[in-house]
Amino acid sequence: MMADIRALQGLRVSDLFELCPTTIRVFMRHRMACVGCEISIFETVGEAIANYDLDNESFLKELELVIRRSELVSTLPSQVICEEEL
Amino acid sequence: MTDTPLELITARLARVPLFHNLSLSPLQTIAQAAQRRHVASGAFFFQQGDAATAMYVLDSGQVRMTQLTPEGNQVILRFIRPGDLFGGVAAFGVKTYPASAEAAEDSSALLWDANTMRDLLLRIPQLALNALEHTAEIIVQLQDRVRELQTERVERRVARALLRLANQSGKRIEAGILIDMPLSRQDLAEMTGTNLYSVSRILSGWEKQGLVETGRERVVLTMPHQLVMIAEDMPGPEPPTDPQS
Repeated sequence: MMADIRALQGLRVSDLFELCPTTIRVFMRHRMACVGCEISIFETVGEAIANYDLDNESFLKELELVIRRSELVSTLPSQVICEEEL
Repeated sequence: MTDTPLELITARLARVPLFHNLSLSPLQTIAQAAQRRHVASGAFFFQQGDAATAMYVLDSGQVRMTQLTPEGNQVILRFIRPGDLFGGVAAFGVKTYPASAEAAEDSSALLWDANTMRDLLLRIPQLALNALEHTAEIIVQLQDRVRELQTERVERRVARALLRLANQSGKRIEAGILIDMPLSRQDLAEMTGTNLYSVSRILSGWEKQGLVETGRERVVLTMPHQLVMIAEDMPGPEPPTDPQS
């Protein structure tokens, strides 16, 4: 299934929202301002997690759960990953 | 006029700034004209828009002065502590109370109806002078507040403008996000409806904090997330407390 959930960290936040809009819920739940944010096209998921001082592991797990439910499992992690981040 | 002995009221009034430097006789006159009112915690001495009929001095407890915004949000203007004056506008010709006075705990206040207080002000010059001093003090406080609010709002506007520009023409570079267009401080001032001086002051402050790097017509957002926090008026480094659920 999903190759490695940690690859999500390198994904741009805006790309994640575009590919899998249901992940927005996870960000809202943590009261992050990423949804509709001007700089979500620059910041990666990993940076967002760090900005809000959240637990990396558990946040990624929450994302994984939502993504699994949205049938994007096979396409998401490998498709769009910020080159410079990996 | 109240159940408290007159001497006691007189002694208490002497400690209230509004009644400073009054000799005994006028103090007694003022005490005689006073009425007392108790208000339970959560109830109101008066509400915003009520006819302004009396001026109050809090004797015990605590009162919250609040105002409703047109959107229906409540804003706390200030807290009143024992010895403080509230509802003073009643004595100066204002027809309705501009704010509500809610007892934050069981409270007791001395009050004078507006006409009585106007009469006292005419008869006791020192009282009128004290009232003016009190008013001047409040004006100074309010001016400070206005200045703070204006500065804060300009900061948010400038942060928003920078984020918008970053979104439209930003480039990821090692140091952060470079706003890839010639951008002067004057441009930023015009975008945000403020002046060059304010923009320069704000940018210098942010530069010191490491949020931005500015050069000649060049801005790099080195900590873009912190600018988002300013633009959104969200708490700074402390993360929002929301347990994983």
